[in-house]
Amino acid sequence: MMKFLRQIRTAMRAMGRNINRALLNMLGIVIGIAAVIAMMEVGQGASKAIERTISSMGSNTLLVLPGAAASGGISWGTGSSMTLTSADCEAVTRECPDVRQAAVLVRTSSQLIYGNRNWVPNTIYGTDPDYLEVREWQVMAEGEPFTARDVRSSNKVCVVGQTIKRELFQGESPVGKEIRLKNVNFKVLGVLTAKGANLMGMDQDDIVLAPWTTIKYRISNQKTTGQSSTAASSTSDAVNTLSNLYPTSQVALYPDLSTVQQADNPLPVRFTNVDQIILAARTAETIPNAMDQITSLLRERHHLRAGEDNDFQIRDMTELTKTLASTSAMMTNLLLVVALISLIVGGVGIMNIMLVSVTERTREIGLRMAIGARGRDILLQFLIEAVLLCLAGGLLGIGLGRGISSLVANVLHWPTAISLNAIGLSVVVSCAVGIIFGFYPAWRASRLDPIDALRYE
Amino acid sequence: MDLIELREICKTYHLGEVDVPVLMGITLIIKHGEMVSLMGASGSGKSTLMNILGCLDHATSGQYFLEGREVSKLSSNQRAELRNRMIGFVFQSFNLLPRTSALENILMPLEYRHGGSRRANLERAKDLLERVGLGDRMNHHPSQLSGGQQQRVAIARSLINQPSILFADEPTGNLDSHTSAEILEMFQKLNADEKITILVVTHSAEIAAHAQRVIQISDGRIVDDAPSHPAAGSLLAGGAAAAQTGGRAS
Repeated sequence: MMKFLRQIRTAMRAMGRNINRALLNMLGIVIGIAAVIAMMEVGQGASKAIERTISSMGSNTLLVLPGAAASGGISWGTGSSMTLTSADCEAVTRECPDVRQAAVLVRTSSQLIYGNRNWVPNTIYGTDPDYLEVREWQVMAEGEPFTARDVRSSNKVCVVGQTIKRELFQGESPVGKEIRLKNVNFKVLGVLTAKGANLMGMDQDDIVLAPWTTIKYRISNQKTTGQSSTAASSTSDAVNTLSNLYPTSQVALYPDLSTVQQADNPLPVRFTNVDQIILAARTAETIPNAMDQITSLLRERHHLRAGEDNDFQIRDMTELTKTLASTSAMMTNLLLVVALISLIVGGVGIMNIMLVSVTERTREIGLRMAIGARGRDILLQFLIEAVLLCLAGGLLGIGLGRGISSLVANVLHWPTAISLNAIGLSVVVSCAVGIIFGFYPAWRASRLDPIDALRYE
Repeated sequence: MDLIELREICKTYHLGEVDVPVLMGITLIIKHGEMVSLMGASGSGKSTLMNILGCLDHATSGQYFLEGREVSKLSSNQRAELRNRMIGFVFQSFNLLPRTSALENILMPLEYRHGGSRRANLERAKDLLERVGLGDRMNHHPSQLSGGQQQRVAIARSLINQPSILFADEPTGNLDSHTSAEILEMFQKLNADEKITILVVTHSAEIAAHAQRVIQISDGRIVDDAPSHPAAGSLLAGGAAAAQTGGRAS
């Protein structure tokens, strides 16, 4: 041990003798390591950004649908059971640790009217404000989203997508205007940012979002309150006319209630079931966990006995998740390759300069040998020199690399992330580079014949 | 026991197909405390002989006993250790480490030797520098010292390990006549006061005459081995300054 310390001191002294040479020696590795750190950090930032972009497409998104209801051997298909409630949604948010956010969805489809224009949007969702967070859609183009309070009091407010703004408002700002949806006036609070088409090619901007309570109780397809105006028209239209090839409105089987009758017999049932719960897992990796947690929670809440089938379904976006995983794996590999190349470049630089240094110091080596250094001592001295140089270069390189990456972060506004892995790796690698690329020159030095070395000019 | 005993030392270099004999049967005894000079023209084999004596090289055949130990049988690591403990070298071109203080230069051989506290070593090195008359130049770098001073640092360095024998290969080859005389005087003083055995390799008779015994070598054989003529010592010629060392026979 003492001997080793002495060797280190000898090597330090030998380096201190020619600071310039030592610095030049280091430069290769400094640049190599700095490149690695900067690449890793900028690359990791980029990779994080890509992951975020992909996950905003919904790779972390899970969909909970009610199961199929059946009566008399006739199944009504997925979503026909009425067991999923907004309370389920709240419980999921509260009790499943791997679920980041959840929102209920109530779907409807209807014509929108503004002034003398009308439009049938792709999607009309009744939901709560968390929906925007689940979809990573928080940033509004104009105005602001509706609030939980709007949901509680079934306020007639909504936010619209870019397509609605274009089609219905012809590019004017819709904020503060009122649109009509099934004869209910909705005040537009905000406009969503453009999201474009989804993977299926469906326009995601062709959307209206409103509090789910409003959609559910004020305008949903099922009549919860009788509406005399439509009822009246349906009876009057019951007479077939030639122009009405496909009667859209149902023929009323029973005579409509009069206003007085309606007042006397309010419909007592207010179904609180929702059509879907959309939720986001914390990360793509936690999706399986989140699915397990949701399953057990909902089974408990729906009082399902062991052996009984689930009365709900959970769907994930497997395709997207796979894309995300392969993209990040690709990014990691790319970064690794770049890092390796720059380290090899740095290492070869070190080897070259060490070889030059051995040649330059031939006489010194000869002298040390004449004075009693064994080949092993010389080998060790040069090896230690190389490792120390690489370590020092590695530390400088880490600093420089961090500097570069924060410069990139500040100037180009790229996201960067400190990569502790990269830092640890480069310390280890710089030592390894020192040993591997320092070995050949050191071995050459140790094999010198002292007589020739002393006579070397 | 004699310090050095050579028996029928032969050295042959192989240059491709051709064998070049350089030393052809050298038999020689050097006793403790002698000051010997080894004289010969360029290519006579004196440098080769000195390399063998200095354990830097080994003979093709023959036996070499250094303080009774058979050196020709030692491995290169053992020879390195022997060099470190028993032999001091002074070179024509000083061979000091550049950009290193005189003191550090003198301490350098101790890097390859076990034991000895740093402080004791430092004391010894300072003491040696005082003895070669450079007590006030301890922290000077070689480039700040004159040739004579550099050679004196080199002598101090060769003495740090208390060697039994000092080999000086053309020690005055790069020095002017005045400094040469100083250096030779220093050798004589070390030999007289401290009984250090000294072997000076030279091709100049004037310098050789400073030793008590002059061995002449020519074409790989000892041609003369006699006590020197003290009178010649005072006739140091200026021509010695431009002297060049004899190359290895080739």
